[in-house]
Amino acid sequence: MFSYTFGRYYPVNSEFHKMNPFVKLICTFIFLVLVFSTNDQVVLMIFMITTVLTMLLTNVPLYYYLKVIYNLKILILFIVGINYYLGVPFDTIVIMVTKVILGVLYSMVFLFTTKLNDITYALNLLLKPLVIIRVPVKKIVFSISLALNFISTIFLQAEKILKSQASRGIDYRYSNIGGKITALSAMLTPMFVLTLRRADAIADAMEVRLYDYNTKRTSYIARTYHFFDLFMILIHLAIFVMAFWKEWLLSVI
Amino acid sequence: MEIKFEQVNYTYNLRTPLAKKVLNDISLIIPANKINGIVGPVGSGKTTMMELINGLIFPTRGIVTVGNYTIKKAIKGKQLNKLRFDVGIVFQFPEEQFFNITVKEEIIFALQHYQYHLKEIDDRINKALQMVGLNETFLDRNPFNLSGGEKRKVAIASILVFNPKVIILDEPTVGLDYNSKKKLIQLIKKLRKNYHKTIIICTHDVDMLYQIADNIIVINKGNIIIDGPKEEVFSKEELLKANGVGLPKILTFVNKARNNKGINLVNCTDIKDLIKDVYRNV
Repeated sequence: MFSYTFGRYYPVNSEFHKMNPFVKLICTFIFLVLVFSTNDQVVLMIFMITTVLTMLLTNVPLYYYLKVIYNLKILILFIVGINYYLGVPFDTIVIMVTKVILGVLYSMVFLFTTKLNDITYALNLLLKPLVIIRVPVKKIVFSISLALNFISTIFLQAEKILKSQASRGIDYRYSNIGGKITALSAMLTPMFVLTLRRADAIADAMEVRLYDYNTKRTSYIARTYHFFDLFMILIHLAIFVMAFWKEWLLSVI
Repeated sequence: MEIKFEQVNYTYNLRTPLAKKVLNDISLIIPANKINGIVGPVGSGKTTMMELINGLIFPTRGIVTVGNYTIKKAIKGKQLNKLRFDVGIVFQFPEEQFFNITVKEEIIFALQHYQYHLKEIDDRINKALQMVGLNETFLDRNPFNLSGGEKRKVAIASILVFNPKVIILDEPTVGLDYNSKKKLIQLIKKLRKNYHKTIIICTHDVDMLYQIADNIIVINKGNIIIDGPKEEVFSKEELLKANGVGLPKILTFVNKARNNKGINLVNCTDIKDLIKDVYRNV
């Protein structure tokens, strides 16, 4: 019932899929910071071209990216509506919506091409410097990885409940707003109960398999860096520099 | 209500690298007012068939007809809901299909949404509870805290409340103890005999099917291997074994008695009748 596009890993072969997850996360991070910090139309245009090229290079059908944007229609309408009501100029609203769409699309590039374990690995490396100021990075990353693992469990659970509701005449997919609200509100209690039970079961399962949080752990997969990683990080750094030298860039164009 | 599959195909995650074909051009007729069993190994397509009948998913190719309804993507809204009121489905783990905090709310969920009169809702609840053998004290209890058998009964009651013509049960005996299983079998028999429902049971429990089913459909790797009256289907031992379906224990005993000892026992579906026959012959 749920669409495939909920930011799930899309298993095809592409250079982006082979990239080191840490480099990919850094590139995504740089891109998102830049997109949300600029208001210049020309720079946004360059970002748009970069995003489309990146999307094409991932070998993930464009249909999936478009479906994600289509699912955000309510959020986009909300942004447009509230800004229009507050009297924000139309071109500013367009820029705002473009930035949201670009941000989501680039994040999707990361999510479609990176496995869950790789995301955890990348987060671990990204947060590692914080150990110096005594931030419990290991604990945070472990919690994040468990939470990420839970997403699929929660979606499966939600799917079962929605199917159960649909079989009794309230089909979320084809209901009106009232039906949709009934379906979703009825889902919250069992989701909470069943997720807590599942969390308990996972904790027990880890304990009986002698999981010790304080023991030093090694990584099962050795992740290496390739030429494409270097290429991508250089491109993103170049865009970073260019965006900050916007005036210079505009004068060149 | 007769159910007809005409060259039905179904593929999960169509047009993605995760595409998986689960039904291959299946054609069959599931007769009305009978208990029909669908058996097959894990991943053979039983649950997919069941979800197709309820319109939870639509065939990738082919036509599924349930009575006067044709299940295809174009069937939406009121027509789809009418189908759901005529075809009730009880999923494998009732606990996972509950989403209300009292048994009463769980049972009346659909009726409440369709604004039935309160009196009619009460009448229907009482009738549904009576049919599954529960009493009114259960109505205010939390469905998540019931025993396995009781949960299954509440799940069936939440379907019976809108009086469907077809009832689909997915693995109804999983996790049930001997007594709960016995009561469930009695309930299924009663639903067919007294209320003339068409019942479809997807299960691995061939012993239970041999006891209650009229027809058996054997499915493997998305293909219908054989379908027909249970006596005919269970007489093809080799074919069943080749497709990962075992024979019921009673039948295995009868076959062994005939092949090894030359004793011809009557093919009976109940263990008590078998014991009587054994005493008669030995």
